[in-house]
Amino acid sequence: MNPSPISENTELETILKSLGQPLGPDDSILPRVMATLERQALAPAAGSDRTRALGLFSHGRQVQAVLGFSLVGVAVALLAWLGFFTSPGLTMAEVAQAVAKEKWAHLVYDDEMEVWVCMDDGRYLWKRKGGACFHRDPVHHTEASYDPALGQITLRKPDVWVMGVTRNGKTIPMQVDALQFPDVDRKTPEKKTIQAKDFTFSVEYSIEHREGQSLGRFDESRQDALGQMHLTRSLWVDLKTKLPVRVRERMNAADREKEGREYREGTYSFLETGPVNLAQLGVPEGTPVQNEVSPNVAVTRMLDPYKNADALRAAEPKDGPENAALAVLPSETQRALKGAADKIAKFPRNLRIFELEGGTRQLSYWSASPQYMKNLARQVLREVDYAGEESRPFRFFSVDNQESSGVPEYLWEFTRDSQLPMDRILKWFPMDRGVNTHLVDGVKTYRLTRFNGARATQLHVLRGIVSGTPPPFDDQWEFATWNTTELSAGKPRSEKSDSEKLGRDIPANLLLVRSERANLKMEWHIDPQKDFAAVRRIQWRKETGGWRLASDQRAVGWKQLPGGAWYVSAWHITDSMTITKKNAQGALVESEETSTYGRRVEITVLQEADFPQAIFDGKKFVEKAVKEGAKVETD
Amino acid sequence: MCPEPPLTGIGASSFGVHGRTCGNPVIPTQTLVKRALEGDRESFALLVGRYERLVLGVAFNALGNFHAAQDVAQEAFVTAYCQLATLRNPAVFGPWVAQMTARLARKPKNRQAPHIPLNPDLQNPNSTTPWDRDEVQRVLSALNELPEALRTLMILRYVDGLDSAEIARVTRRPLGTVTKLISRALERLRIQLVKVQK
Repeated sequence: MNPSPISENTELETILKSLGQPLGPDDSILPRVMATLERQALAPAAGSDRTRALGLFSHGRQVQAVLGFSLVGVAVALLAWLGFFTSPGLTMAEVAQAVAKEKWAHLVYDDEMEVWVCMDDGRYLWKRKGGACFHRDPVHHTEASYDPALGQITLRKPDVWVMGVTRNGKTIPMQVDALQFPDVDRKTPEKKTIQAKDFTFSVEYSIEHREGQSLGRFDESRQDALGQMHLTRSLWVDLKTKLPVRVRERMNAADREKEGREYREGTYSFLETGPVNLAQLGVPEGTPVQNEVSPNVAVTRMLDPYKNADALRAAEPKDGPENAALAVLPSETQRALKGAADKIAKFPRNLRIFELEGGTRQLSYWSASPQYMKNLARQVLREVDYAGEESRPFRFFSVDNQESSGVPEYLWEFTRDSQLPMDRILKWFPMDRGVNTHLVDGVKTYRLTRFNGARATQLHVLRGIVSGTPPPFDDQWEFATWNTTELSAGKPRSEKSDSEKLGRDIPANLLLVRSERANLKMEWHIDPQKDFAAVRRIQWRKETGGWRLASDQRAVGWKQLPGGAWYVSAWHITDSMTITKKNAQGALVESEETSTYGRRVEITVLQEADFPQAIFDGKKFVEKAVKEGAKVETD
Repeated sequence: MCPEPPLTGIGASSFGVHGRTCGNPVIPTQTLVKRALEGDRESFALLVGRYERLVLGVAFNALGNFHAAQDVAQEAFVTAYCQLATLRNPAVFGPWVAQMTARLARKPKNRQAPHIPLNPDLQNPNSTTPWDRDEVQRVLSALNELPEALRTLMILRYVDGLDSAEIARVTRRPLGTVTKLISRALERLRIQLVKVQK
């Protein structure tokens, strides 16, 4: 071939510009790349939890990679990777075409979970053992979930919704589109191993003959958080119909523990019709609906997910959806959030925290990057959903002590103002005997639990971390990242409609922040003079007899750190709960029981060099746990 | 929290986003990188769409094998995603992932596929937007010979479609320097092409 010369700058520039033009669907590797990211639950910054509800500030909250799941996705996840590994009689295009021709796909697992996907509109439903179920409705862009324990349906709109693509005038559900890979011509069974920064992934393909059926079998293995390879999933596809018939997958650590087995199996079938609402999955008629759909900009972004995503994004207001979410809150709440955000950004980032509450003592170490506290503040302002943008945003270690003997006497007394003797406490604190020991090394999360008086020890190692804060933040700035929708539902100070039961006048110098959901109401009294921390936190729960006070927590002691940051050093807490007991006649009667106790917090600002050696070292933590005989579980 | 069952698999995501305008970057690359870092997969999908032709071209240029190029391009994007937090200047995502692709293509395991001379029959038979044309490959070969700094400017100018002022801003260089360097890069590219053609 004689190449035609390219010498003119204009032609050269044309070719260079062409490198930025989009590829057609038959050439694009986008589905393959995204399938890989989905399958591996990869994250560029150690995962993302977009939820701002309960517990964002909870130091106990560690979220393992909760991966998405869908019926056809199970097949896609493997097949996307296996585009090259088809064998004679089974190509990617054939499988994709076979699935796309079906109306409904149905998957039944041996743990009583069922999943349905409608190929026409992407409708997606599941039901689990016990009755919990879920419905994603792509027509109305809603997600409804039913929790039998709460007895209510929760309705939401996810803030990002991409369900499929439009081709030739027809919107194809995402799951089906994912199968529309270019056909490939490698048909030799083989093994493929992919190595990336922190994972290894491999797939093998083989042919099986079972009960007169010829099946293509795909085995996927991947590395866990400790680098061990596990067979994570197997998928069987009927070589005759080209449809997936069976899947076996490794359950997550929690389910493995709960079920007492490693794998579960599912069987595919393809149906003419399927359920279209939660009622058809067995949710009782008249079940109350908690509507958490809020009218913010993020929702409008979902209205047409099939069209040009760039254009949709460009149409967003300059200040972004999160700021718009802040704007829907009562002005008093906004002032409290802005004030708290400012103080959080300035809070010291290297800390030792000692907490004393009833019979439990906890010692924690916290070290955040300079940027992280600023990001937390931005999270409070709803400017970002996830503060951990950096590769190693923060590190955290905590260990508790629940022993009843050998505890120094001075730790049994609750005094609101005294200085706790930290030198003596540190010398005494049994670091190796905690019931719960918890480490975030900046990359992974480790949870060590000692059961039955330390006769059994279990260690969970999870990839990734979520936004976290030093423990005291949980109490004094809990409101700051409370679910925005619930904060907006809490009535502002001027509305007294529920004041008889719930509200009370609070001093004019304090700000009032309220939250409301179907079975829980919260009220925080915020003191602008004390860094916008909550000086009081009141909680009501809805029970059969109506609303009842569940908890009343008051700040009774304050301390200031070098640099001026305030923190609550002593809390006075009253908890109430309804107890059902048998009376003298043997009849069940309800009675309300109240307990009152205190909590002390002692914070010390540290320098980098002050931290105990290797306190945040995950590798050493695991080695030590293994030496102790811990049973190790990974994600 | 989304009530998805805690299983592995594919959920509703940006899996099949094809509705994009890669050649017309309405959203700046740095914004997409930032959003991807915040966990927004859709933004990363847009980045893949924007640079996959370049990345495939670079991989094909090094390997001369359609399937191997796809493998390497895929690996490059996945690696880029994992290492996104290490990218100091998000605006240069394109040059960065192209460089990563070239590096991956040089690995022995990726060079095992036979390097086959360009032949239309070896292209993707279903392709509607062929990216492995001969003249494109020659330009990529020439581009590959440029020093990294000049290659980055070329990619920002033509693939990202940034004007000189924008490039000056994102690379923090004086405008005059950028203009001169682009002009010098084009000239060197033209000379290099003549060499390649000979």
